[in-house]
Amino acid sequence: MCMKHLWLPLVLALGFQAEALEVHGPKYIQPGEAVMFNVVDSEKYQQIEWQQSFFNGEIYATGDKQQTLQLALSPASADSYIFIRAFGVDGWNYDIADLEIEVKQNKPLPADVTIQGPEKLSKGQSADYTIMGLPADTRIDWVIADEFGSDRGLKVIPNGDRVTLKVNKRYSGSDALLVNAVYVQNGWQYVQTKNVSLGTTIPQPELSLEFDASYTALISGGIQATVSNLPVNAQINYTWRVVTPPIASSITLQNETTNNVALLAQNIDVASKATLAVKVEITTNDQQAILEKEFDITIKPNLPPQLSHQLSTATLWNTEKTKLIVNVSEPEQEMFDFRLDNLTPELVQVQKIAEWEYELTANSDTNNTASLKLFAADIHGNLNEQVVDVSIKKLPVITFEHAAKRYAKSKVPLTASVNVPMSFISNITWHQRLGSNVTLDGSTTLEPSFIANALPQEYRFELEVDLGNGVSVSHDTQVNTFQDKVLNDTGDKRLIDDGDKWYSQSSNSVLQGLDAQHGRDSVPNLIKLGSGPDGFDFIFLNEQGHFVENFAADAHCLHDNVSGLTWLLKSADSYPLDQKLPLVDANCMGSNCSINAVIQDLNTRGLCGKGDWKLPSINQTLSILSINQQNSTLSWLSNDELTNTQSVLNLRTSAIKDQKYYAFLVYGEELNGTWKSVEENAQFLLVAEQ
Amino acid sequence: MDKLIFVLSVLVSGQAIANASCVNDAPIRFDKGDDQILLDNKHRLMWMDCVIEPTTKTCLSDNQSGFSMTGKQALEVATSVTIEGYSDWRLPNVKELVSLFAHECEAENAKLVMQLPDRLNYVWTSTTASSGSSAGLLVLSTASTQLVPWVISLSGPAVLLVRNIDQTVE
Repeated sequence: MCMKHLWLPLVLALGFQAEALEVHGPKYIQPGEAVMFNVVDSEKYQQIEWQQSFFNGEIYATGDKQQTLQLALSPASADSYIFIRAFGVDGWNYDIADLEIEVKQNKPLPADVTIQGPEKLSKGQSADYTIMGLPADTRIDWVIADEFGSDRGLKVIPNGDRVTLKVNKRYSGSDALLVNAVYVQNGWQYVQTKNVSLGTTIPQPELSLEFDASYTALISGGIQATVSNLPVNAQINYTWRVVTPPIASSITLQNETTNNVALLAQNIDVASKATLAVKVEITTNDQQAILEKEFDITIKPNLPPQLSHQLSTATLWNTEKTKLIVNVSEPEQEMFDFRLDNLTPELVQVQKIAEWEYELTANSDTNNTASLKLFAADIHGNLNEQVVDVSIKKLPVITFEHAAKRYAKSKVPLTASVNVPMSFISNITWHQRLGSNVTLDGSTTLEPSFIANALPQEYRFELEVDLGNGVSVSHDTQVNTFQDKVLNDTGDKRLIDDGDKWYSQSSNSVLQGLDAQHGRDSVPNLIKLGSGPDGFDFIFLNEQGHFVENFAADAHCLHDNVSGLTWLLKSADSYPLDQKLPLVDANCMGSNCSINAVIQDLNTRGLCGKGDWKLPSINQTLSILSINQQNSTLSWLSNDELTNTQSVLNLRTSAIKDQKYYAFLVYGEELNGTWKSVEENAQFLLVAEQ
Repeated sequence: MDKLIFVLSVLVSGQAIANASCVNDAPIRFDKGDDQILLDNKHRLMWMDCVIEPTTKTCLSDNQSGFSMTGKQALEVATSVTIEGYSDWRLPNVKELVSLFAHECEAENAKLVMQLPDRLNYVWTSTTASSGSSAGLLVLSTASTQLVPWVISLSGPAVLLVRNIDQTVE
């Protein structure tokens, strides 16, 4: 007997027996058999002590209160009975149970009994085992231990014919467990054993999340939670929540009690982080686990549609066209609306020519800026606007700076200017619209020229300045050409010899370059419309201006076919050539007492169909004069073919300067020109230009 | 500066010369080119826009002062020079020369267009005139427009050259 039992006699001597102790065990045992005794309700006692009679075998107690006694009878045992007393010690009180075990031979075979339950278990896992095949009221003692008899790390919860075994996660015994059901039938004790192997440790449930790198505001997104290593038949509850919303925004969750939560963030200006959390509660019959994760997501702003455009030409001439191409992209690939507003319809016309393509036509005759506005909005109302400015330039103006009147046969310059730099001009074209066809020299410049036809006429040209891109300006100009006026020759016939003397029979040679050697006077067989001395070409006109015979009695005027001037015939019976008159005579009441009176009379009468009679100018007077004394024009002017004026004529002209008039002194072959006092009367010729 | 040079804004290459004071709005009479030629479109005459220097028989330059010639010299120079590619130059007759200086409106004022010495006065014509008993030529005072006879052997007047525009070049 061991030392710890030394105090038992004293206890038994001093203690008090209260009631019977119930011990469960067999009544029979055969040699070589091992049986087990268990104290029922051992939890009521502090300690269980055992005493037994002498027998050929071994006995030992187990359990935290020594409530289990195992007895092994030697096969060679010759014992007939074994007596065992159990003490249930509770302070000074104790209960006693006396057991009498009869040693017998020929133990009956056990009934057909099985233990049902899993044959494999994992650490941390529990399982139920049930013994089958026994009467319902059979007491079962469940003894579960590893193959070395250790039950450390094992939790056994007996419940009649069923026992729940849970293997602690930190169990470190052998991998083979023995589930023993000990029962007594007909006094004999039997042990039904089930071998259970211990598997590997069950992995812990793990929570993983699937979410996007970023979410866009106003667009619903989702996050999926997945729990792996779930216990069988586990119940899972999900709880999602927003820990920290994005800056200046919020997140709304839907289906937040499922593994797939939907989230929707309100719009934000800039990308912002948000913190969310999910809590997963896993519940089994005997376990509960909570998995929780906090995680960050990025919320990006929901941007409006992006607008851009290409304008073929940003600066247009009035009437110029250009193409506008609009590009709209929606960052979130959402539906959007687009609109183009013409803010200045009076300045530009807009026509849609294709999807996203517009044709703009400038319409302003002043420098101006037209504006279009592009709108694009997504389904959330996120709006983007863009103003397209188009500069409109008024069309340049063509001005002509050349003279509008030129003489026939002369070189006629056309000079145009355009109030834009030449670099703006892509082409210059002159179109002749009227007049004899001429060839323009420099027709691709603004300053071409042409040689006018000999026939006086009106020329019209249209200048077209091409500014490119289908824009041009044009303007008409005209030039009238007038008949050139060949000067009459002088009638000079005199020659001078190389001795500086008048040429004579004795002269050796004549000087070259004298008047007599050049001009109409020296042209042989000169073609004339009428007739006249030397190079002069006259016709006589009657009072009505009709052609009459040379030196006819009814002739009143002499028309010079070269100069185009018409002269009053200074005939002796009407207007004597040598008659001197003042220009003006205030006392004169008649029509022939002053030059102006004569002029007024002629114009009143419309002599020879003319109404512009006047004193001739210096050049006009000079044009009709001849210094050929032998065939003087004065004979023609006086309508007297035989006239040979011997006196000096002072022919007054219309030129006046410093109270003097200019007069030609004509005497035979001599001609002078000088200024005379206006007080001095003079002879005169009268001329009509029209 | 020995020459009277009229600097007019309208005097550019090939530019027609006009003057707003010309009351009769006449066609453009004179055209001036890059060279020293003045075209009289009205009378179809081509003038040398200078007086001729006697020794060189070319246009009087700024550093030359003498342009006086006798009538005989004038005739000889006029009939012998080749200037601006033409050899048919001559002295103007009296009507041609007067038409150049006795203008009736400013648009036809040759003095405004021509580059003539400011001290120029008398100019030779090819038209004969008696100076007393001597043979002479008419000369025109460009200052007063007076026509006077000048003994052909006496110097004084200057030479202006003219040719017909339509005259075939020999």
